[in-house]
Amino acid sequence: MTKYASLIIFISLLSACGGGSETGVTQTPSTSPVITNTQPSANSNSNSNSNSTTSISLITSEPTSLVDAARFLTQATFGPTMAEIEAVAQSGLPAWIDAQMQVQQSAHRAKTLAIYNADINAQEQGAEWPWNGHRYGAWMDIALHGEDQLRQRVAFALSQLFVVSDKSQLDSVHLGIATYYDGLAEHAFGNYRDLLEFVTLSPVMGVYLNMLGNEKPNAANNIRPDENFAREVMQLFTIGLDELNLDGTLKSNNGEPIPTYDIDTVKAYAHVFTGWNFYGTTAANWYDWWGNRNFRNQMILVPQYHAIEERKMLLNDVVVEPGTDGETAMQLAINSLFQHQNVAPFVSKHLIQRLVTSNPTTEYVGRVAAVFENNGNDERGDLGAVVKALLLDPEARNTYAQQHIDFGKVKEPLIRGMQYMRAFGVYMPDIMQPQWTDYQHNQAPLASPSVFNFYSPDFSPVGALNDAGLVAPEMQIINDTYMVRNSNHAAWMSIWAPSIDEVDNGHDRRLTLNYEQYETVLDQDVDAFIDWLDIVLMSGSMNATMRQTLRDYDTQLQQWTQPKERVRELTFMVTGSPQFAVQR
Amino acid sequence: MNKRQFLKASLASIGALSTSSGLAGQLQIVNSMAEVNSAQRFGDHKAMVCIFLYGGHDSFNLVVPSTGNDYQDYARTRQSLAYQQADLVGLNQTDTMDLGVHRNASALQQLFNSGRASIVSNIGPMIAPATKTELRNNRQLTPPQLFSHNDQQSLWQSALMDTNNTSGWGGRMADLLMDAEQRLPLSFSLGGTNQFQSGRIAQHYSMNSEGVEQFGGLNPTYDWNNARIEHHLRMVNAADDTFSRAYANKILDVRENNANLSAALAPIDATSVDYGTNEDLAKQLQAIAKLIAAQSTLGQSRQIFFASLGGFDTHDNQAYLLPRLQQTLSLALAGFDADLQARGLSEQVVTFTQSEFGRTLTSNGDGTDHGWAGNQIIMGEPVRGGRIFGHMPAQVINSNDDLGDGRIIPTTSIDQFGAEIAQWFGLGQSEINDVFPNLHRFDPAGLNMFS
Repeated sequence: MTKYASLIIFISLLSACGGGSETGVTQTPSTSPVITNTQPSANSNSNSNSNSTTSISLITSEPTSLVDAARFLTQATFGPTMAEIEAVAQSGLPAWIDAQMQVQQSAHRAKTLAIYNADINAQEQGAEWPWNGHRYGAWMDIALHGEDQLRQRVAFALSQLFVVSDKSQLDSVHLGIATYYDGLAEHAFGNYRDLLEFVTLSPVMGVYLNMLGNEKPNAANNIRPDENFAREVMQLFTIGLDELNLDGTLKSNNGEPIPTYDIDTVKAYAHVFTGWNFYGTTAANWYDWWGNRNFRNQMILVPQYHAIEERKMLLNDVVVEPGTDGETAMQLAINSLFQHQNVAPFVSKHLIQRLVTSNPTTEYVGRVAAVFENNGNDERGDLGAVVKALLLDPEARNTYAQQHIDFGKVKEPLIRGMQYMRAFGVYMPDIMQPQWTDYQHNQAPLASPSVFNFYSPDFSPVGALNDAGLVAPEMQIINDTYMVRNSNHAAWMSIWAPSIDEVDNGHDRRLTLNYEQYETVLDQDVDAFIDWLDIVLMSGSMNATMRQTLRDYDTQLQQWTQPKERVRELTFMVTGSPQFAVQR
Repeated sequence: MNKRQFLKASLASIGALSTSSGLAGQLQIVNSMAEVNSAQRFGDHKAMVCIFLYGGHDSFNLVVPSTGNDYQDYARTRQSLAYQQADLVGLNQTDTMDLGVHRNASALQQLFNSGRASIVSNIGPMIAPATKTELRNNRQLTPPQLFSHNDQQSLWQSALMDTNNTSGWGGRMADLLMDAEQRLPLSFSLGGTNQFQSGRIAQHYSMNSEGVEQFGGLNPTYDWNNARIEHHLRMVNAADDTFSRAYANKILDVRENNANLSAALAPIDATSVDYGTNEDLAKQLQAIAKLIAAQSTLGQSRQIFFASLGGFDTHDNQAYLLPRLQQTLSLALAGFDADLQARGLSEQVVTFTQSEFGRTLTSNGDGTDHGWAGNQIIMGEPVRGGRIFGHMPAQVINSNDDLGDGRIIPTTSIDQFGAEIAQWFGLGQSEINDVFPNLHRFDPAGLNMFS
């Protein structure tokens, strides 16, 4: 018998139980009749498509192993389901990516509004506009149920690059923030330059980093343009602090890094980014912030407030001559950033760290950055091609046996939370309730403490990882408190989540996981259930000790509990484990 | 890695501790660590509390010239962001020009005037003492990534002018003081994971102001969880790859530390003092006061704390925001001081602020941008109170103190500031030199902040 033989039995049994028919929003494993024919051995590296970086679109899609499909979906979605694993194993990864890029986009703004409108509690408290919990609830609903998983997963990664946060003067602008998030998702497979322009002219970013309302200088009153957006667009959104090689390593001059810009560069961009305000603003009502408020349309230029007289020396030898209008100056500035040599490795490494691995090799970064520079059709900044390249790269696709010891990452705690919910299928008879994911996970969408995101890409916790020279950004927010809260959330969702009957009979939690469908099967074959946990939650990485521990625990559990509790206890053993907190 | 293993490994790896120390310095570090078993060498208890003001505090608008031409200079430079003279309350001091704080910060004024707090003026990250001309002529004298938030936070917290370093000056002190047999760190953060308390081996326990977070399904105090915990720990110990093993070790730390800390904190009463504010910083400091009160149970003769307050990146709307932030800070400080006095702990504790940078004296219309030097507060009975330590620059632009746009050049270094705190904390001179390897570049006369 091959390793996952019992899994196949299990899936067949599950199908016979007819699980997952309760509601349209329940996601359940389904059976694929061809699965027994397409099951390569668990550790085979069956995709042979990863040698080329310049012809991504020409890659043929071949079947792959369940393990590879599960690993891939852990990187590319908010968590695999058995059905999706089977489908991807059959279709191959490139075909799945291509299909995902055509799926209709989910809408955060509309969902936020719907959850807000359905929230009687908020109405009773006289909420004039959606709260953070409505927006987080929308995000969670889309992460759990959205068909556009890849787009939304990339959008979440982009939301940690082009950071805005509601922990700011935006704390009541949740529809605006949701609109911004939808914009990130819309551009997730588009061109990076368009995305950069979208971000630059967004009123949400305008308020967050103070480009909105930024004025030309007034020397008599010691007033100069605001430098906030000018600085952070360079440091955090495009090029970073030091010049990079294509593979992300630092260029050096006599052993010293070469700064990408200095204070004069910041001041030049600060002058360029003057004169922008809410859509509809005029010179006459420039200061009427409240009256002009508009977070749906992009900002517009009010020429009277633009610093038109100065000569601005930008990066990449771009010069904005005196007299150049503000719109043209802005376009020149975006171009100067987009064309900078750092953008390709900077953005590529960010996406690799969010989706695949914390410490990519320089070769991996270099291969993906090369696709950023040229997608094979002489287009620079094709994010769809970049995403495809980084997911199909040999370093991402290496089997466990082939992986370098440093490969992998600690999962983002919020994504980890989504993963076990998606795995079992969410039962939710009504619209999503407001959610506050930051309580459990120290992470909520577009809610970081500052523009520096939830964690630094360079964070390296004291101890073995630091000693080994490895970074683990996510560990910055999994501190002593949240180590416990993440565990408790897993325990709550596994052990104590209400049953579907309880939810139907008015339990105040209107969301639970669909465990019932697994009970009968577990009772017949515990190994099959363990196989299922291994594939869906752990991408087949469960070692022999873990497996034996689960068997032993189940043996004990059988003495005093029913299959209902056994399913949940075994699930928590996995969702509460350090192995599940990590993806490889 | 325990302390003994660390010492063995040190010669190979300790180069990362500081960029400037040569082999001799590295040997000195190892030697000094070998001499000292732990903080048990001390017969007394001391705690230091770092409050980090994230975002870059416009602290030349915390302590401002209050009379005559000095105020006129300030008002002319600051324009719409200058505090009105009528809004200032005076600091009683003779160290420099007349100074005041905004009346919103009157709690700080009272701390200062009653000798319980002082100001360290014009302090910032420095490679070495340097004039404006020297800085313009020699880039090597400019700290790396000046004006960048996260990098300047790193420089402030590490006191090493190297943004790639991952240790902090509190953490390096803890390396020297920690008890190798104790899993519980002597450093506690109420203000999130931070570099300040990270050593080469020393970690910090990060908690919320509500107290120790308790496990639910894995709570060891209920024996009906025993079978679950037993199998959970088997899973934890089965972690066999780089990242899950690191995660597993953290789980084991948290399990043990939570139990010990919960027990030690259980008998400690909540504060009897009304802080006059219920904001997060006040709650953080209330929790710190309880941890200080629990020190004897915890067996910690030295403790290092970290709290934080965000929101100081006032590019916009500063005239509205800054007095409110300064009020929050002042009330929390005064409440903490009163709390420590009520608990009889005030002779043992020194509290100080840090912030990544001061801000431009010039404005961008309704806010300020990233600067360099700033002022910091130091508070506590061991400190000489009611003083302005260091050079207080005039608030004019294009002066010799001004690098440009009112980004003020520091004249006191973090090394000088931290070294005096370390000395008060009980570190020997060679240990201080290990923690602050660049200290020798600065005036040995120091600030004399302690009596």
